[in-house]
Amino acid sequence: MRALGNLQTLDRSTTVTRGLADAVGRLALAADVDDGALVRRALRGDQDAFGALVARYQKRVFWIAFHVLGRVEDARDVAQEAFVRLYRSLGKYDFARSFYTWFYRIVLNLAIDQLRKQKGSRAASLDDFQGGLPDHADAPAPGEREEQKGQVWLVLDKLDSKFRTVIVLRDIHGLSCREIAPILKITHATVRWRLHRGRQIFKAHWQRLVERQEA
Amino acid sequence: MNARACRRAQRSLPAFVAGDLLAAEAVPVQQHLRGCNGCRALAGAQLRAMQALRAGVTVELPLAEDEFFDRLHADVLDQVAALPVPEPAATRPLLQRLVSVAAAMLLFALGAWFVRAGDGNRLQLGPPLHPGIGAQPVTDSIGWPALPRSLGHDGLGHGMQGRVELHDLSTAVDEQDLGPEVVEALRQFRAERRKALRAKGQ
Repeated sequence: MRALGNLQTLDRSTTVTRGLADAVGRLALAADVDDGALVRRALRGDQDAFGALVARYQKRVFWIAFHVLGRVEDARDVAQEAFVRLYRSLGKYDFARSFYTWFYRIVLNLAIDQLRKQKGSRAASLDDFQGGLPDHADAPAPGEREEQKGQVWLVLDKLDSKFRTVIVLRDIHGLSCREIAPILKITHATVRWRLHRGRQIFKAHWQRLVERQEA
Repeated sequence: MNARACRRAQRSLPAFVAGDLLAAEAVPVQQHLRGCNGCRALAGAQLRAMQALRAGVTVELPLAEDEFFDRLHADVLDQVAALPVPEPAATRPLLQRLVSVAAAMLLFALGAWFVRAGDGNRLQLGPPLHPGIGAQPVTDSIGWPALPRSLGHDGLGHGMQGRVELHDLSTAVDEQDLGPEVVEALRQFRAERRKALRAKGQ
């Protein structure tokens, strides 16, 4: 139920890719080397340590960016940029705090900025897509998987980024409200409220879409 | 089912369907849904939307997954290799902290020096602004409690106290100068006013 790929709870070995250099791969998988230790080593100029951090987080980061943005190419760019920003600001990392909370905030800020930039250009493609909805004569047959995927993105695009972000983090990636709050720098209660409203809005749009299909 | 129970259950439906409620919160919703067709339909719609969301956000990557992420990894490291090794921030904040502590201590020392030098007393240049403050209630010549005197009486300032000022001027007249008849009339007037106020109070 949680994340199509509940990336958060996957075994670490499955989140690290296989084609890495041995040293990096071993470091990324080492259970006794935490993120803070890797950051310290990276700050001393150890490239393998940073490589291990990238290996640990790249899949999660990519998928979060993808679920916010809805495009593979944009998500890849955001993931890459997020790692570069991470490297540049490693010195500012507060070791008393959670690494992933800090890093996810970098990722989400970049993804949301990218989403805002996209909004204008995406409007045209959405209009194109809407033309293919069952209201129109040349609508594709309902129930097709690809069509449904397109409709999900269509509905997600109608959500404000603040609702979309919490839905992605909670309902797709399975983070708890307490984990989401510090990432977005909002209170736990605000996360719950945004989640509630976001789910309601998503359901309302989705239902309308389905009803139009059935009509 | 009554409307209030439906409203209460419907408020919890998104969290209920997502499995976010504690057992104690979920049980009443579940019980309500058993007996309410309308809310059950809404819960079904919410569930279908959530399922569509989770099923609809998958995508096939343009490359095999391992290859895709290997390339991402390599691109990140290539880009980072061209950057200087980040400087640990630990030294800078410590220096900044020392500077701010030194500045705070300097300000504190300056403040303490001013207070000790007695500069603070220079603020009290004249008599207290309002001699009546803290004194016993003053009565006028006919035993009627005098209204508080405004700051204007001391010649030390006129602020937003027009109302007090007007009252004060009316009692500031020396009643001995008015003559016994006027004083008597005034006494009667005040007695009547007091009676009227008491009657009004009752």
